[in-house]
Amino acid sequence: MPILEVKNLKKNFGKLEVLKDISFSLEKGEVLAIIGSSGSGKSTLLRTLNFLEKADGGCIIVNGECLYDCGKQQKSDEAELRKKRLHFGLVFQQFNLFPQYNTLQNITLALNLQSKEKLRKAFFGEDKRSFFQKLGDLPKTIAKYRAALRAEYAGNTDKAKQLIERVGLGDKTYSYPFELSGGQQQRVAIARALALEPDVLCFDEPTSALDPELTGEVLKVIKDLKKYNSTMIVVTHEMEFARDVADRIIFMYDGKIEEEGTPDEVFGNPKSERTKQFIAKY
Amino acid sequence: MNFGQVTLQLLEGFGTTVLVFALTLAMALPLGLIVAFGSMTKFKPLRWLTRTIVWIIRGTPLMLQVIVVFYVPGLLFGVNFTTRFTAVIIAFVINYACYFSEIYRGGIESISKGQYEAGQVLGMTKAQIFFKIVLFQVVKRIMAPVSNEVITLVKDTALARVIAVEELISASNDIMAGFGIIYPLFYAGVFYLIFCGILTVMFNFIEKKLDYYR
Repeated sequence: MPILEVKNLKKNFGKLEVLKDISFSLEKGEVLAIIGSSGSGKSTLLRTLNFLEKADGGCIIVNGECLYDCGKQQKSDEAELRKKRLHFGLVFQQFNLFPQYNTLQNITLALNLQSKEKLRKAFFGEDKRSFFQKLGDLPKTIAKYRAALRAEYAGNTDKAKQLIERVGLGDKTYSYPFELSGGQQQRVAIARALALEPDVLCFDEPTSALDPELTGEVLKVIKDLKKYNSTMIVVTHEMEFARDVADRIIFMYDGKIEEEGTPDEVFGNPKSERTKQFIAKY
Repeated sequence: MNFGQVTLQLLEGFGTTVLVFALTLAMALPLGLIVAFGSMTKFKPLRWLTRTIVWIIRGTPLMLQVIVVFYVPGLLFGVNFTTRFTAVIIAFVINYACYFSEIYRGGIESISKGQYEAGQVLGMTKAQIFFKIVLFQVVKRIMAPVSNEVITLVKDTALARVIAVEELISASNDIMAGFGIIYPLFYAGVFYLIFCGILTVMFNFIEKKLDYYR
């Protein structure tokens, strides 16, 4: 069963059709590179998958679970939406790190909030005893909750530190984003997305905002993730990288998938005239 | 009237000045945030209502507002304020909340969309995004305009005397009128100066504290 299936996805901005009938599927551990000129709908596709934009048609299926189906009436419940979003991770072109938090805090913030939510529910949520019984041992419950929370936070910190090591920033654990180079910031952003263990990790032109000499370090980190069997979708203009790392390539043109295949097929022997023209430019 | 007596009388007025200042600040700062949300809401009627109120409050003199708050309820409904002081506080809080709301709004709107989106893809709720990510950045950005407004408030408290609330300026004025000496008025100026000096030092300290990131 594919980890991700996208069927007939459509998205309009007013009268402008940005995505026209996009369908593809992705197996676990597969890396998909999406190439194409600006305005072809690549970024919108990623944003739609991450529910930053609401699709106007089609469906998104992750692990056999239908996350979005335009045919059915969807509840736009915020809690549901948040759960769906967690199947995907997104690394932005502009990193979007939180400037007031250091590397470690950037990564643990969402984890800690989730821990808190989970424990609050466990300790105070589904308690069927009477109000007075609850009130009686409230101090005890609070003490237990605090201890559990501390343990969770410590676990989150360990996890974050491992990720920081994995992206090669062990010496920048307590640095703030403004103290880091663009490449380092993007690596923090990657670690931040990884911390939530998404089923599919999406990269929206992760190196486009970087100086050429910094793109290498970011691409290397993404390449390394393949070893960990991460499923990834990378929107990129780095053809070399796409060819090197991706298992499959999608070339998008005007909101449609113009060509799809292995790197050798798409780069070596493109069928479509438009693909040929596009690749010839690189 | 000797210097000691003048000082004591001015201190009494200064007490009221500080009280008006502190109460206004304590209530207008949070209320301003609510007004800011009102002026940014997607619900249009509420947004226009809020913006109209802000326009009226910012577009008319505070002195006039103090008078309106104090006299109009009595004229229209026959209910009078039990104390003049309460009327002053209400007028000041409304006025300053509106000014603060515009500062907040500017600050909130200056935060890039990317910060919200980063929070969203990390599965955070709207409230978490606002309180854990956005608010802190807003506070840093609005510190300078807020300190400006706070220092203006120190001196605006003098308007309380328009409905005969005995604050610093009216205290010095009373001495002037009663004893024919003019220096208490300048002496009152020194009080304001020192008060604002302390506030300036405090704001510089806070700004420095917030300077750990850019």
